Amino acid sequence: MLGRRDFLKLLLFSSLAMKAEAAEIFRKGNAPSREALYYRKLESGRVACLLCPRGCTIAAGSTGFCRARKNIGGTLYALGYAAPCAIHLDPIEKKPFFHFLPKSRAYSIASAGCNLRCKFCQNWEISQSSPLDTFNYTAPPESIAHAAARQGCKSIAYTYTEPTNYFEFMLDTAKTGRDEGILNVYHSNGFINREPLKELCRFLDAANIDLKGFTPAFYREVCEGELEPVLETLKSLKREGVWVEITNLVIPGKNDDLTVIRRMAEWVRANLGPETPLHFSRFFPLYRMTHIPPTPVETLEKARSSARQAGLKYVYVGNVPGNAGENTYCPKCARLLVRRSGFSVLELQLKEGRCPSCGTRIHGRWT
Amino acid sequence: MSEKAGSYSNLILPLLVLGASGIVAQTVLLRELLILFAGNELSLGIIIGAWVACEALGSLSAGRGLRFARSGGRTFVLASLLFSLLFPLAIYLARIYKELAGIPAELGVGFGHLFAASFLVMTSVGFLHGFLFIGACSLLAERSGAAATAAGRVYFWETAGTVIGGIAVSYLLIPYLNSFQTALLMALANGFASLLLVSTSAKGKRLLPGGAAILFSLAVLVFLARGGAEWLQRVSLAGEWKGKEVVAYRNSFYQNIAVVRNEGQYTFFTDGVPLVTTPVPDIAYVEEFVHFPLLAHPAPASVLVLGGGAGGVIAEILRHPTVRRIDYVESDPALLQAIRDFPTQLTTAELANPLVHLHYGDPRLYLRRTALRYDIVLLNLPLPQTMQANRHFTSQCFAAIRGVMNKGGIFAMPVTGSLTYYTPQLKAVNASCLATIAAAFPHRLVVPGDTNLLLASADPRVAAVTPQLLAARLNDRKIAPRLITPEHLALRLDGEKMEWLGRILQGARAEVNRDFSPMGLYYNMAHRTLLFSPQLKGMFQLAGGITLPAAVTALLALLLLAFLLAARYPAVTVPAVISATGFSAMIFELLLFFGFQLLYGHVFQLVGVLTCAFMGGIATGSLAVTASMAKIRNDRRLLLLMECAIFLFAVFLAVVFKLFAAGDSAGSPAVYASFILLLIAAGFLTGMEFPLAVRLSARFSGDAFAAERSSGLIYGADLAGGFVGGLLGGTFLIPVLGFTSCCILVAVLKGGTLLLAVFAREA
Repeated sequence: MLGRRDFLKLLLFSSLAMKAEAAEIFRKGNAPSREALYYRKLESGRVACLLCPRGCTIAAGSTGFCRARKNIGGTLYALGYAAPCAIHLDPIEKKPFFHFLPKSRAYSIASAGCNLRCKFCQNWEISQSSPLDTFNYTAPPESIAHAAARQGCKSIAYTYTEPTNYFEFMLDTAKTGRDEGILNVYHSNGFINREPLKELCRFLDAANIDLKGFTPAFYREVCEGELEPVLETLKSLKREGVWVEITNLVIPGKNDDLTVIRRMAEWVRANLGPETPLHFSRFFPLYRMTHIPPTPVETLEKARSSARQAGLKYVYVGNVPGNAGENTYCPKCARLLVRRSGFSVLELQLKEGRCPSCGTRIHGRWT
Repeated sequence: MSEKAGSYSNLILPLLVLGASGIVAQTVLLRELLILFAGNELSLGIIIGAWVACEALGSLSAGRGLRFARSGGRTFVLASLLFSLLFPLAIYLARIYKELAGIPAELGVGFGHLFAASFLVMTSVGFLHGFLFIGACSLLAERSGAAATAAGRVYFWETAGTVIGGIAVSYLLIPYLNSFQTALLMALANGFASLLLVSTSAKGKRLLPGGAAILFSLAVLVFLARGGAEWLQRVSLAGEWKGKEVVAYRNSFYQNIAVVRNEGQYTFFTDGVPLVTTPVPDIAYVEEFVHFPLLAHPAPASVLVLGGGAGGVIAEILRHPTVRRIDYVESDPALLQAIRDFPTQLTTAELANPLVHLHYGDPRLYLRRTALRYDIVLLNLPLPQTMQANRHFTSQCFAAIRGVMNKGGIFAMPVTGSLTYYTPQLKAVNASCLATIAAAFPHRLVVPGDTNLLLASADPRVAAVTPQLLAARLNDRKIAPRLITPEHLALRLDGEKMEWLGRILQGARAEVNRDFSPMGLYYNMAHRTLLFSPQLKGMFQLAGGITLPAAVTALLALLLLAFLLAARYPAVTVPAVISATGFSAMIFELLLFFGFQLLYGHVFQLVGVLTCAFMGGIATGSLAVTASMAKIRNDRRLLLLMECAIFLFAVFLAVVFKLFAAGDSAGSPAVYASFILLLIAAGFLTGMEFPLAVRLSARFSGDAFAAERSSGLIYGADLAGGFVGGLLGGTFLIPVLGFTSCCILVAVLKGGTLLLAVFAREA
């Protein structure tokens, strides 16, 4: 672990300097860890992980499905605690959050591992890896919060991989962030059990959940996961007062059935409210899903139209720069309120979170 | 025996058909499997290796059976017909492999499946082809009454068939027929050849094989006439492209091209992977790739696009009002034809614009020949996965690019990157690209992204561009792209990200990618392997560190083992020598093919000529020795001379490649001719050993009647050596060691087997 002197030295540096200082201290087989939360000891040295619906039973010396939690001598350890493999300053629109602190920067971190196996993962180099295999920074929760504040970031984003896998690190960082006046946002697959989620929600301000499809078959075949727990997570987040946005990556021939998309939008409206932003993203061949065309823009536009017809107020098209579906319009008078291109906000015309033309309140946290 | 002893003229046509069938099946199935795997040099090695291994097994098993002659050719005919039946089935299997294995059609697959599919598809046909070769030896031995020379004669005629088949499949069958039509045509040829063979058999033995051959040929004719091949094509494509509307499917000389339509969008696939999408391409990619370099230049007037111009890139270039001329070089005319056949507003506007000048051909040849000079050169080709592709990413190519640039000109190319995390493999890919560019351009800028954009110039201003400068030029030129805005420029040229990436690449150790030392190819293969087969990461890491002394040490250990084995079991000696020759032949062939592609990639079609040269060399070498077998008194001494010749050839080749690497000799007719001659010589030297080895193995094994039986063993050993050479050569040895060191390695190997042949005792 980092010595006190090293820690103080880190605090003196900006994020950039901190990364330079802390870069690649830990290599394979030497990631720090701490005892995990949410697990139960079983007989014969095995443990039952209670963090996500997968519910791994892990034998001594083994790691769970996520590769980020290891049973060492009958005790479950969260690998990669205070050892993120990625630290970056990103525009919050990249997460994507379109209704939460627009034009702000999020201090974004990740540790390796994931509890799903999506064949189209964008960050497969770290999500399909273990903290034991990545080059990691040394970054205790306090240093993250301090660095975020120093960099003028309004939020800390737990992102890139599945944050549930570094739950303890995320939780402790979120607590210190809250103390520093920094908000906490996360981009997750939503595959987490109710109890740990409830604890996390005490410190979480916004969540973007990947609703990867709306059929159990899609989750099973393409992600090796389940749909139902993700829907439960969305409902829990809403109940706990966390701002929720949803991302749906539309993959041709896999989850682009418009009737299913319509059902998904109806479910969102009924369970999360019509004010929930829904992002339909264009897919490009990635990771193992290479023998497939990109999503036709027409499909995305039809999906957006269908979701709006289902009653959702804020439906977006992603990964198609210049498309009108990137912008926010007033749901009442249709005035253009936020003009975007890629991750850039080109115009922001809200007045105290309301449409300047008709005064309609636009949902979200704008400042 | 009622057959005409002493004459084997009726066997010549079946032997030619046998050779042609082998090369046609191998080529067609290789191309089918490459669509499945989006192949690289390793997958090519595995697929060809699977064929060779199965063929070796077939020849070994036939060598044990030896029932061909006694059955009057019946076994041979039935095996030929079975081969013809299984060939189209193997094509079908390749197309529906994913479905069989429960893999969604959209997914690429890893090396586990690559092995499984290659063996599944190649096993039956490869095995039968090897089996038939030995069957032919047995038949010829019986009909000619000269058992000792039978293998050599079969080797000659079969190789001649391979040459004919190789030319036919490359220039006639693949460009004009679909795979099933090709397979059924070969089935017809086999049916007729079988009939010919049966007609010269003993009367009592004609009924079954003759009836089968007639029925088979008629059935194939009827099936072809009634559109059976087209039906198979439709059904199999539906299985391969499940749920997608394939509106065009064709083979060009270079690759397979498929066009898929979906909601008004066309995606053009090459070898199963999407390359171009219209009418809305990957906007972020094309805009960033074009506008960063063009905005970095104060007034770009002339632009050269090397590959991937249609489908967005040219449209973005045309937004710049300063541009007066765009030269677009595309190597595969069939790809552009497909884009033209399914026009969209985007591509029509690009290809019909009077500022755009199309050039079909090899980018490196264009660089060498053009007298034009450019302000901007854009290299828009995927990072190399094969030797053929690597030549556009070497220091020699970048130097040629610099040679066609105006003062202040800017070169740009994309490289796989990340805004999140760099694995050691990804670091190496980027660091190698940067180091290679640095050899030609003193000033560079890396724009970080999920695709890094490398800008390079002789002018130092390229490294000092700021978002403000680019935004001002954007404004001056009145360009309004969809993504590129002042805000986006600031985001992409963010100091923190650039510093981060700079630090990462600074710490990475990677070598310059050169024509004759293609390490860049190796780094790319290692990175791509992580995607599908992360378990091979360690192997690639280990192999990446191979040095010539380490390889020589490992080889010496192997040779020592061969010496010990030969001392205990003399019968091992000749197969060991021959397997080393098979290995050497494969490495020679790969080196000369790759070397030729480096210098003459623009004449890709001439690869067929190279194959003919090599195979012709083998056939001639084999025939030369076979014809003089009766006169040869000292087999062993001749074998030693041949071993010595192969050793010296390897040394000579090392010197030749050293000379090629030192200077730019591309384009010279003398160099072209020398490649042809070297291939003939390589084939001749390796082909000579086969008939002699078959006879000699009898002496080493102490079995006076072993000549016939040992055909299978020697052929199998030859193929096994070729298998290992093919697998290791293209993937590890040539990229990591380079051309010259590979030759030295072969010289050490053949020097070792020469000593083995000198000192080994006979039984």
